Amino acid sequence: CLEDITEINENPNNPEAVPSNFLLPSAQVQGTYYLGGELNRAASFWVQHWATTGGQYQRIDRYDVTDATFNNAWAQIYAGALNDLQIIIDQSEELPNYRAQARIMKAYYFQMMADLFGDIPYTEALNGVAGNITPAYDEQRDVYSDIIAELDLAIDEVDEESAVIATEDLIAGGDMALWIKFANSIKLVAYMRLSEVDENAARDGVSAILNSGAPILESGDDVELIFGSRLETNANPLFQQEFNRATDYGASDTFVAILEDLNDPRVGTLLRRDVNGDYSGVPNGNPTNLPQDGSGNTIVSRIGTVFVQETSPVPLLTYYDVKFVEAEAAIRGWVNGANAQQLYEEAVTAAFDYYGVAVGNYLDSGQPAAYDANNAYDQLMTQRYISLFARGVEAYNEWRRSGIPALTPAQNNISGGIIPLRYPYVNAELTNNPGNPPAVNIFNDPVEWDVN
Amino acid sequence: QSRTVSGKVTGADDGEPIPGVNVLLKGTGTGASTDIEGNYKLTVPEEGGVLVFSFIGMKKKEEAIGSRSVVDVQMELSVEQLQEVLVTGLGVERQAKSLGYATQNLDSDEITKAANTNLLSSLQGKVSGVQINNSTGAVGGATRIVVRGPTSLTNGNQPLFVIDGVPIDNTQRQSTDLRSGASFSNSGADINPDDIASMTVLKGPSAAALYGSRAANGVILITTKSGKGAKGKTSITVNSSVTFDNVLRYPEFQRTYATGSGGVYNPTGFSGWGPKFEGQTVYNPNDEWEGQPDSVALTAKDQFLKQFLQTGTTFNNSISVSGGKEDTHYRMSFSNATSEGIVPSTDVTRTTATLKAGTQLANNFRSEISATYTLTQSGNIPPAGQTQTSFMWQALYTGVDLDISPWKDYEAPDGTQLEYGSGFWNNPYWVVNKNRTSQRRDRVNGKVLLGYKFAEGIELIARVGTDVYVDARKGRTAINTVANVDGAFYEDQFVYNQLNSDLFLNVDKEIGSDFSISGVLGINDNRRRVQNVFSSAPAIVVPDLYNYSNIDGQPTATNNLNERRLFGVYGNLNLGFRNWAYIDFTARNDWSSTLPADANTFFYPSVSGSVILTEAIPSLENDYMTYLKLRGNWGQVGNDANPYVLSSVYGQGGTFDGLFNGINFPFNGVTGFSAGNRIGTPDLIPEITTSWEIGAEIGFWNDRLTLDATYFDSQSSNQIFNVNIAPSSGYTTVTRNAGLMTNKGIELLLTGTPIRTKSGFRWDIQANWTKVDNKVEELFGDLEQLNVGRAGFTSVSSVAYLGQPYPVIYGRSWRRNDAGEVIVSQSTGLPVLTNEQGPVAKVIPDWNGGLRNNFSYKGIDLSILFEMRKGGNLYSSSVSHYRVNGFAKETELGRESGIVFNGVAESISTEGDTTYTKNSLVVDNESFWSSFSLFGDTELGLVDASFIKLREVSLGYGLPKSILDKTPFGSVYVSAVGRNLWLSTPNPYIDPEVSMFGAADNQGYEYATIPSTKSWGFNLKFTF
Repeated sequence: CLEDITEINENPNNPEAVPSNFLLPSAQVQGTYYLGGELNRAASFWVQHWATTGGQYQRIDRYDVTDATFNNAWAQIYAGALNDLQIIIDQSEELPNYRAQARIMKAYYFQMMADLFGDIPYTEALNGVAGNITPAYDEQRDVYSDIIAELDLAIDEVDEESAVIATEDLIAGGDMALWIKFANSIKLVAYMRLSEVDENAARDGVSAILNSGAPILESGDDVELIFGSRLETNANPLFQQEFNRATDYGASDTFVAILEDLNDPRVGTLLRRDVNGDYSGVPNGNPTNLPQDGSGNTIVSRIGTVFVQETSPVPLLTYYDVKFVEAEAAIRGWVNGANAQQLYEEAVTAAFDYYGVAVGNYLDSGQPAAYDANNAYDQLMTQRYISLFARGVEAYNEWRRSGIPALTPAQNNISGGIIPLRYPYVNAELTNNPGNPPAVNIFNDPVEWDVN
Repeated sequence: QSRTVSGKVTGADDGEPIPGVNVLLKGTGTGASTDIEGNYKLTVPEEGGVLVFSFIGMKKKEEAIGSRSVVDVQMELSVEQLQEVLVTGLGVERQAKSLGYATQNLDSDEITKAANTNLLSSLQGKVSGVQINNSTGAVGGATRIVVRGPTSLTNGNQPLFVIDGVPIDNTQRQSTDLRSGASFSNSGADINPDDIASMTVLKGPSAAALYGSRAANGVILITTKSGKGAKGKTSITVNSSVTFDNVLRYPEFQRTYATGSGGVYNPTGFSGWGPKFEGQTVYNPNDEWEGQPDSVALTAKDQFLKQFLQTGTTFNNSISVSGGKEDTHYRMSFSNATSEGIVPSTDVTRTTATLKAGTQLANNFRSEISATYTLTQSGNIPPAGQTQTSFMWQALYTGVDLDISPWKDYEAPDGTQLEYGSGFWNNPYWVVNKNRTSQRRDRVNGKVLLGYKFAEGIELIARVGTDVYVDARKGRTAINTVANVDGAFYEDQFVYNQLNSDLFLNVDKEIGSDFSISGVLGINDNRRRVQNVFSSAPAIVVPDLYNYSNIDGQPTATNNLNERRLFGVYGNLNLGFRNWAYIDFTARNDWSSTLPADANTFFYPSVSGSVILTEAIPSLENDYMTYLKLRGNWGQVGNDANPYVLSSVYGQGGTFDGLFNGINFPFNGVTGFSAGNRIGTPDLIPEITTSWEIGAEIGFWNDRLTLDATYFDSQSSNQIFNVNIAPSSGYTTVTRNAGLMTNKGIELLLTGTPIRTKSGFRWDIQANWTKVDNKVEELFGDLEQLNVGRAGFTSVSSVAYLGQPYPVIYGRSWRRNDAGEVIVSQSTGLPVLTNEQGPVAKVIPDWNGGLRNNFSYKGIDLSILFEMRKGGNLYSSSVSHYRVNGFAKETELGRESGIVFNGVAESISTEGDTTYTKNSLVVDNESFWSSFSLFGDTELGLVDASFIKLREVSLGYGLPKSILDKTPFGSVYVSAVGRNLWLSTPNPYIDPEVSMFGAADNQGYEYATIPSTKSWGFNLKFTF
């Protein structure tokens, strides 16, 4: 009977194993919640899409971030989404499509983390159960190389005959053709990200995909996660932010000025009118003299209602993202015979279409946004900047890569006038993985692909 | 030649014969004991000789024989504890002098003197080696007890409670966030102090080894009253008291400047940097209420808390009936304690009914049964902490110019809330009246015992005890509550069940006249099970109906079963020699359900010894020192793991960024799972605490003054805890055996009677003093720190830090130069913070002590108890807020002239030499204080937790026998009582004893905690 005593120690509360298909939705939601929420937030302030109008995000807007700022995001992406995806890959040897779905998702999140943090644990990561609780950090470029290899492996793995995760696949519904397009498109964006640090690799990679006719996202193929009801705690992260602290942030005057300069008709979608019926922004850094309305709130345009519905989607990768890469490749002259103007206009139009805004005469000659071969790269990157409104992570990546638009640092900043070049490593790593995170200064040390 | 001397021994108080008195011819081994009639007979030498009479609980008496052949003796009751019989492990009685470890015993009078209905806090200041903290002044607040310093890093440090040999639960169960909302009490609060005959605190592993692994944190042994010794009479005792509670300390606010900023009045501005109070006419922030004028005169009023909090009351009534003869006894009691809190509309009621009976049967059997039913019920427990329903949080942002008297009207006819100003806060009257958190705990505990006596001093005892309760809580949030406009509710239910069975042989024998042997050999089976169901609804439809039939959206629910079993075999052997030397061995082997199947057993022994030197070497005894006992022990106690930690598990998906609502699964109807954050470890071994102690008990002037001194040293190793690991491993924690924590300490207990006059005046003193040095010696691998628990602040946390006492307040402190001067930034005029977080201050005190003075004269008695603590710290975020927000008294200074912080400016020359000059930078008062980082600057909220408190006062009068004889009463006693009437502590804002985490281990934090109380009242007790 004493040997039997431990029988009651079998856990009656939680399972010790779970089928792979139930792990995918949690991984998709968890990572995307941060992509659209906490990670989006700081970046959207720093690229001056948004500006603070209250105390809640004031420190972030003044670049006052610490090793505690992104603790939650880092922990839940690594010890949540990524770990679950790794488990799917490890336990689904007989299910190649399951592995491909997980592998592509995992590559996407790892790229997101490498873009924001630079060198990250990769090769040795997600190995805690096997005993490695202090994973080494890999260089950002090495992470990139392996992500691309993983995406190729996933594309090869896809097997039309085999089972897929369908109902539980919240972003593609088990559509393996869409997964392949998604994988190729991630590669496209990843190669283009290297344009400044290693133009040859970038050109070769982008051209190879575009020339091979490999399937990439097409019109209507937006990879995004649609959120759900607040009462079921399924709501979009920006809805949650708006619902709880609506008056703590609004449009940055930098962003409003750029839209105004271009007579951009998207302003009515991307922003709401302020109490005076205008579209207005405030300077970043929460200076003390912001205009106030009668109830003590700052007069400013808040971000568009399209972003703050309970069910608003968080895009991971869209058709227009792909068009922008194509247009950039053409403008850079990487593709023989490509029509740069046409691709520029297609990219901008795709970005309009995403929000259902008619492009009208916006691109007509004489208009500020009309294609100008002498200034095409600047124009394209400015459009890219606008198109990534409320998609802070990617906006921050593209701004760091291109340096466009030029930004004046926020008022009251704590950095002596430097916009952070990366996110700081988190306390949980610095404390518990000592010696492995490289010593970096977020104001002085850019990530590897950021040479501007 | 020899002769025979005989006589009769009787009690000095009642003249009744005393059987079993030890009669010894001094200096020899010759002795006898008295028979049932109190008679003895002894052969003595022809001449001279001195007889020594001794009996447990009586004063030793020496009588020269002279030429007498009959020596009759009257023995007096001993009031000193040294000679007492103590209840030790398993509810077995032992002579105190035979014990090789420190114990301290409290009798019912000492516990109930100040009419405190909470047993746990009624021990405050009375026991050496023990620190007891009352966490808040709210009804039903939790109490934390630590015996001889913390031993466990993360598994809790609360001692085991044992009533009449049966363990009972004293867990603070809390599913909701301890940092905010309602805080629930530990379940030990269910015990009715009036039912207690005595309590003994067993402090070290040697004392506690027989309780097994659960005794690692010490044992509080409780013996309940019985009808024993009633001599055939029935006695009825009635005890009634009423006490009134008020806030012990309100924060000291400045009363010169109004709410606002930059000298401009703004009643909803959250800070106190407004204009000077000059009676000027201003906009009335209460204009939302009908009949309120548009403008009012700006004046300083009582602060918000003073206006809102009220006098709490407690009525406590109990009645007990007891009786018995030689072979049967019984006692029944019924009690009711009803409290209304200092927070309006909060209350708690405890009702108990208990029965205890025993009988001695002719055929060597005896049986005993006891059962207690307790109903603890609360209609509303107040919220605290940082939530928009917490009036305490609001108090951190509210100045003295607000008049809240209209707010009592909290609900508009259309059901919306009437609140003032910005709409950020809830009306506190709305919260306490509509958002009620209620609790009901029904509990039954008790035991049955059957004993069979094989022979005199050899008894086999079977005892089965249970403790069962159902604890149901319900939290309600009304529709139209700010920050939760849809309303919400949760239900939280715990079903607890403990079954504890013992079968043991108890031996207590004299062998010849020189040796005694006593011991225990037994087996124990302990089964515990707690089942929890927590469910909640995100919104309700029809107001004020909190039922799942009335919700909007989907309810969410979690349930949990926690089951464990421990089987133990134990033994104890105590050998005595001539009543002056004792050695005691214990050993126990446990099998635990929570450890790996192939390694679920562990063994731990102890040995202790004591010598009463004054009896061994009578010549040591002199006119001053009349008693000297030395004792020492070494022991170990093991501890198992929590259930289900051996393996890694999965849970429902979900995510939460710490800021907003997060995501729960199912997500849009799709189920999702995620691997848990913890890596299980299949090869855990038990935790082990090893300790030794030495001590002495010295009696002076016939025990008129006694000193009990102990030094102890304990090491707790192989601790089972969750180590934080790099999240990039895929997990955030792993369960490991690691860590070493040591406690070394001194305990002193001084008891004496400085004055005792023939006229009946008597002055007794009891003082205790404890110093514990705790140190975290090892954590895990190179790990320097381990989070004990979330403190609820981004930058300040509670940490076990290598080389430091446990726990430390961890955060960023002020930079200081080598001379210890604070370095001041020359751009802001503020102290400069260290770049890195680190340990800032320790929580545990340097020492603590209690001092009780008792004066009695002709039925009048006055008892005064002080408790003192020196050292230790508290991080009070409330204090930070009072300062940063300009409400603290000290922010009044320099409003016109500006502030120069007392520190130094640092300048580094081009050669790299650093020089310091006295800071002379004048900074505007408001910008100075409001520039502090509220949660980042640990020192701003750091409070020295030293204090002196007047814990208890009672002034009583017992009617004399001469009057009582003419009445049906056996005794009548009336008293006026007070508790915590006075506090002296270095800070003027809060009582440093409060804690936002109740009985949990992350001590040293306070944020918007309901203030502690002082109370006074009357007590009437009579028997007939």
